[in-house]
Amino acid sequence: MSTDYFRIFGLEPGFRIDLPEITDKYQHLQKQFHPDRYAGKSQQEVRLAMQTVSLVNQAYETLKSPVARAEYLLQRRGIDTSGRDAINRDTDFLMEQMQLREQLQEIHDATDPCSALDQLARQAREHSAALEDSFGACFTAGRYDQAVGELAKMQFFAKFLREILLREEELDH
Amino acid sequence: MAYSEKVLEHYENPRNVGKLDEKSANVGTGMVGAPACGDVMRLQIQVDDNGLIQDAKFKTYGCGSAIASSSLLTDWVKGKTLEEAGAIKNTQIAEELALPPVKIHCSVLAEDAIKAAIRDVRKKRGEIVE
Repeated sequence: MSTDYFRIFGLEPGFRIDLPEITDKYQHLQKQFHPDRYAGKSQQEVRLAMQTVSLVNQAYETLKSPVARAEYLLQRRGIDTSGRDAINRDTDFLMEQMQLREQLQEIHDATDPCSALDQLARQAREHSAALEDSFGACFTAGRYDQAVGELAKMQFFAKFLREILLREEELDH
Repeated sequence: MAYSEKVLEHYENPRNVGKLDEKSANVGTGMVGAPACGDVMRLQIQVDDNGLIQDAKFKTYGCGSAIASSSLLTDWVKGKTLEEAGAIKNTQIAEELALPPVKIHCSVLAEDAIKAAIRDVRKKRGEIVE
């Protein structure tokens, strides 16, 4: 089996993926290499099957997440994905992130924290979706410098969304 | 992860949190971010006519180590010249706070922030042209 995460699922490498299709193939592969099917087989065969399952899991987790998928696409081309310089040149973006974090911090004081949180989450998801589209376009066009910048922004919004989720859990309790 | 006592001390009791007027001619603002962990840091310095840093403020959204690094650095730069402040290395911050290897990047973020703030105020004072 190929060790390339896209080839494992029989795909051409690219940012756009069909997640339900990959999930189907993932479940199929998991069944195919399940340890139960290796009863009575040699130790080497069992070990190989276990390694395959672990590789398939890793591939699925990576492709499932837009940020991890974008990182993987760039890294398999040998591109540095740290994005530090790109983001530090974009003061406006950092300022906007600061404001979003401030809004999140002040959400407890809102008259209706739940709906304020929903609105913030919706806004963040829209931004993320737009950045993902932009990343896909840059990557396809071979504009890798720009793609690294878009990935960095996706990472900030992913972190922001995780923090929104934590707040939602706090409010639920 | 276990934080060092010094990190916890700064985290629980951060120095110099706040904002300076970024439009002021003697205030320099440095905004930096770390994509891998999504941390955002704003560090500001206010410089007097002799080029000494009178005041420093920060706001950091990030982990305890990032907050402690910026808190410590704002304390350190007060009373220093821009040259002296710009010479502070992230390794000094990491050492003082006993940061573990996985948190070294937080001290790098703080160094990037002070450098950006110094560049900003120098530009405003006409000391550098970009």
